[in-house]
Amino acid sequence: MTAETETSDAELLELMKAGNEEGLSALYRRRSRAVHRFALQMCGSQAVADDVTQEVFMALIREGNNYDPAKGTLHAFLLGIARNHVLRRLRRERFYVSIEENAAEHKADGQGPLADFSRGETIKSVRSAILTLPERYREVVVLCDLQELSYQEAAAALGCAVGTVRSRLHRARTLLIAKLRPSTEGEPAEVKSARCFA
Amino acid sequence: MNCQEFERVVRDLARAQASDRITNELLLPLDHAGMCPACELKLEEERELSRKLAAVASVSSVPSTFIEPALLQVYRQTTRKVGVAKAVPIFRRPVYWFAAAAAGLLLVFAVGILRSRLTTAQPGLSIAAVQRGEDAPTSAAVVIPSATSSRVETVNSSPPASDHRIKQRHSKRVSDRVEQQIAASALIEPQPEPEIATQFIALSAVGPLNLQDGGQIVRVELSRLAMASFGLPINMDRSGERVKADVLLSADGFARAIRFIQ
Repeated sequence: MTAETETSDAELLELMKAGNEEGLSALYRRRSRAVHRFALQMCGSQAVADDVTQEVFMALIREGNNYDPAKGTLHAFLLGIARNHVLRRLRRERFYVSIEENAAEHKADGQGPLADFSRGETIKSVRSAILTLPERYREVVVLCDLQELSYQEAAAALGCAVGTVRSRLHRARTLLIAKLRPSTEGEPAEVKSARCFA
Repeated sequence: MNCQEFERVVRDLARAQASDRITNELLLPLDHAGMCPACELKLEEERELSRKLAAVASVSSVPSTFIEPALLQVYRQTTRKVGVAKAVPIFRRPVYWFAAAAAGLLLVFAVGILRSRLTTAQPGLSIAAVQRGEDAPTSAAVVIPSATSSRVETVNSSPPASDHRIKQRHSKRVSDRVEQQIAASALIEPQPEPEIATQFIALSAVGPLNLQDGGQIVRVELSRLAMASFGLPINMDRSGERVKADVLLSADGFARAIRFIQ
């Protein structure tokens, strides 16, 4: 697979457009995990993530000509398509309650059962907190903090300005800190306005 | 650095610390956090969040194995369809034949319109030319058909015989068209019979009528006996018939004069 690692995404796309099956195959192996992870972190469902991954590459087969290298990397382009599909799914399925599923089981890292359990609980709580964020904040957290994209790449994927990404990320992280704060400290976090009748 | 500036870079600082990528630019905010307890607490929270997010990011997810073969199958079908479309020669495509038929119809339609315009426009020009007595290219041969054209031929004997024949044919064609046009116009618009009218006879003894003030002529029908009151002769055999007359009305609406029409 040296050819895969040496060839750039754009070259693989050109190969694919020229009718070379290997181009698509290499591109899929290189980028499918990131797309799948993004979809999974956005919606928390393995089945939806699979569907979105398939749809993203189907779109690439059909509309690969729409990619403009001047607007950003192919990675950002694919994540942009994935984002559109995820948002569509979320809007369509907002009336349904998902059954708890272990989206992607984290593997034990060999630091003992207690550490593994603790880590598992942390991941679970963070995932739950991310899934409760509004979509516009969730996507920047997923792109910038979980996918480790730069602000520019995230802006290209979301189709907005870099400043917007920064401000949304600031707000999203503030919300996440509030949500993940331990309950003993975080009890009075949600302050509701009250009127004094005295 | 103050707390507000620290607030702006705290996220980058926390992320950099979580990934051990501290740059020189971030040293100054780090110093500020060492001095300000509130900012240090904020940095600690951000660092903790970055650590948790890194734990989530480290969890790998793999798409299902059936996706890749399904995609490749779709890709093969797509490329095969494109290939088949390319292999069909252009003259075997139905679109080509539809386009050709449409173009042919358009051509026939355009030629028809052009021909009809030429046939209607050219005689008109000839008639105008005949009436004006000009139009150099057709010359006298166009104006006078048959008998005189032979005279023209005898006079102008200098051009070759074939030229003469062409001219003769052309002039005959044009004169035929002129005749057809005249006959057609005669059929379409029948000429009204010429009217014979008497002079206007004054009806009232007022001053001279100034026509610049306005007025109108009204066509009426009267009994033939009315002619007698103006001193005009009447055929007594036709005294029961009616006769047409034009009555001249002045601007004030009074009848000023009358003439009889036959």
